[in-house]
Amino acid sequence: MPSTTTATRTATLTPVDSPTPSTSNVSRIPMPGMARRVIGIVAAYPSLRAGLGALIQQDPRFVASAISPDTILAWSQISTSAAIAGMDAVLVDSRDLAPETLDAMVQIAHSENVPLLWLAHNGRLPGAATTNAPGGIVSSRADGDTLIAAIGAVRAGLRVYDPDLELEAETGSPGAHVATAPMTGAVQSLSPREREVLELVASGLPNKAIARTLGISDHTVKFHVSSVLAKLDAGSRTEAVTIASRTGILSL
Amino acid sequence: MTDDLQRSNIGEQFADAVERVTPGVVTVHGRRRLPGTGIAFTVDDASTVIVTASHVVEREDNLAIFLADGRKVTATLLGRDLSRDLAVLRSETTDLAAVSDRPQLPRVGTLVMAVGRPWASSPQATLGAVNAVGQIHSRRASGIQLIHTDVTMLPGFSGGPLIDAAGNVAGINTSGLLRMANITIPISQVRAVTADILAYGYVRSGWIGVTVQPVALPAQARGEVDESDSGLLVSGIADGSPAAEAGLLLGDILVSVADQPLGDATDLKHALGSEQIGQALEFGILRGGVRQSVSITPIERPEPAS
Repeated sequence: MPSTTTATRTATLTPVDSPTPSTSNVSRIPMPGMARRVIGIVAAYPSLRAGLGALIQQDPRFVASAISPDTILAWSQISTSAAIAGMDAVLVDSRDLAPETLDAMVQIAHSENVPLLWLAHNGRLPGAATTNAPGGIVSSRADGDTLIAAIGAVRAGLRVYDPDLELEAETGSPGAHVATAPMTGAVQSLSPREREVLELVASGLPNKAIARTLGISDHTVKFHVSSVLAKLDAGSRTEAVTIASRTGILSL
Repeated sequence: MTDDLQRSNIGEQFADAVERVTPGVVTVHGRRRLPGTGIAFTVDDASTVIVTASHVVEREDNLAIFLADGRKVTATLLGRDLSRDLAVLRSETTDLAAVSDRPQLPRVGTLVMAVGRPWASSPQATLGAVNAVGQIHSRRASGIQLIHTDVTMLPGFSGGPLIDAAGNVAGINTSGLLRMANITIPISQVRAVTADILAYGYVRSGWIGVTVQPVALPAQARGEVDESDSGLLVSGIADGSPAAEAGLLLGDILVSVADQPLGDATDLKHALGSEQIGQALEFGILRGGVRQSVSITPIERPEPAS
């Protein structure tokens, strides 16, 4: 068994001492003697993991265990994921997670037979692999009760799908937009013109102003902006700028 | 009870504050489902603009704005500040009632209200206190000043004002910046952003000519000056840029600027405000594992050639 030399950044959130059972669901009170179920939480940022963990732990049956994306990648590289095997389900917030992390997550869940519950943003999940994974997808706007219900369902082997996703997705269905290119590939595939447009979008210029600055038509600008959004797998201009800043496309 | 006695009741004072600001609070229809709130204020040339949250504005033209007096006007997007989630709109109508500012940052503990007008019929308000001023969600002290309060942001409140007990606007509320929190952009920044957009069409910023990617610092390099465990790897340097002239090299890791830690690209962006143009900045870097200092003077971001 390979020993990990780097400290794994798995944090177990402290269970609430005296949880208040939700008044809407009496069946959540655990049976005496039943051990709490561990639900893994994977998200890009500590604050996200803490928030999702707090929502999950409103249900006294569950205890949340936060896992950083680095840990997922490390586990997939050393082919050991014993910690995941002990979990009942893993909640994955797809926001700002690299495609490599998502793929690693799917592989690990498959090999350990642990169901995944995905949180999708703007109705879409990046990556084809995720739509084939066992488990379910809910909107990132889901509240605590919905998340808990969804986790219960995927634990029972059911597939969960959130109808709100269709309202959010611009393309109409979560599986419709698939980005199979790895993040670095997408970065290289932005044309020089697309990079120029992205720089101007990052400056906050509206499309008309971008058109004037570059000497092209409004229509062409809109076309370039859509192309950039698709290549970066971003749901909005703000998201595109965030992704571009973090992956080193935009100069500062 | 006479009017005087009624109005001296502290509870009524907050209702008065809402009444005072209401004429300048508008409804902004800029996206499919939920409208947002905006404020109208007068700028230097005596014209009025409407400022709201950028994430509330998904269209750029023919934005429907509902005023407090019941009128509906259309507005056009002039520009955005994505790093502050602000959008500045110009309406065709010139006689918009405006709000008044409270330019000094409120103190921690000041009682404040968030005012929203998602439904044009009447304003809504929630009450809270200023919890903190600054960046409380990050270990790092760098970054723009934000006002953190515990007001409840009801749906559609983004883009609306945070007011004090006198009805003066301390800032614009948004839920679109930090994912787990609602914050308020101080009105002084709102005005500076608006001034730039009106004068230049965009918010000016300093530029040094690097593309960067956040990286974790090797263990032995951490914590010399500060507690940071990440830095910015320089993955690209533009020809002839301030970074190039200062001798920065590909592979250098930027760890601090002006003694503030640099953990991700946003930290660097916030350090390169327009006030830094022409002012030398001291960058702490890691080159080959050795800490060094490089002085770089930002210039104004060059426009892409057409």
